[in-house]
Amino acid sequence: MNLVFKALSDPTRRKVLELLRKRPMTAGELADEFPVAKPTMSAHFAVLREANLVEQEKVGREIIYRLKMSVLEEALLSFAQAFGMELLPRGANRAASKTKRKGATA
Amino acid sequence: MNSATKGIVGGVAYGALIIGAVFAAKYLKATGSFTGDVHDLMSRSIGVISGLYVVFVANSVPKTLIPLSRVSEPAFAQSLRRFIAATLCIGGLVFAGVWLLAPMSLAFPLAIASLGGAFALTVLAILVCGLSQAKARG
Repeated sequence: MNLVFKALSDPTRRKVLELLRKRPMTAGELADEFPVAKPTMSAHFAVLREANLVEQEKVGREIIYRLKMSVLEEALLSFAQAFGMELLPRGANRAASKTKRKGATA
Repeated sequence: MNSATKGIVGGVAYGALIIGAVFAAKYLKATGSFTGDVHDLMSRSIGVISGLYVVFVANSVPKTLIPLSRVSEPAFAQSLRRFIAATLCIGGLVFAGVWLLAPMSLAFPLAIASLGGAFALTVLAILVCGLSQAKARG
C-alpha cells in the first residue's frame, strides 16, 4: 500500500493515471502530454508499474500502458486529486520528491 | 500471490468467517453474554461478511486484465470493467451496511434490493455494451 501512496503522491503520475482512465495509451502518447524529459517519464512509469497501478504490454513496436487499479485505488486517486498531497502519509511525499530528484538527474 | 490463489484464499477465508460467526453467536448465547435473538445476530453477521466479501471480490475485478490481442476495443472493455467493479463494490457496501444497521424486518428486503440492483445493473451494462458493439460491427 505504501507503494500506491508513493505513486499517487506525484501530480504527474496522477495525471498519467487520469489519462489512462479514458483509454490505454502508448508510452509516446503519454510522454507527449507532459513537458518533461523522456527519462523522467520512464521513471514515473516505473513507479506506477512497481505499485501495480498500470500494466505495460508490447504490441508490435509500441509499448501500450493501461490502467490496473482496483476500486479502492481509484477512490484513493480521486481523493488525492481532490485534496492534493496534504492528506497522504509523510513518507509518501518524501519518497515522491526523491523519485523526482532521481528523474531529474537521469 | 496470483489472482487464482487470491480467489481461493478469499473464498476459504469467507467460508471460515461464516462458520466462525455462527459458532461465535452460539457461544455468546450459551455463555449469556448476548441476550437478544441469536438467529438475528447470525443473519446480521453472515450478511455483513457476505457484503464485504462481494466488495473484496469486486474491488480486484479491474486488476485482472486480458491481453490486448484478445480485446477488440480496449477502452470500451476497460470502462465496462471499471463500471461493473464500482457498481458491485457499492452494492456490497450497501448490503453490508443494511445488515449492520437496518431494523431486522427491513434488512432482508433492503439487502436483496441493494445487491440485486447492483447485479441487475451489471447484467444490463454487459447486455447494452454487447448490443452496441454488435451494432457497430454490423
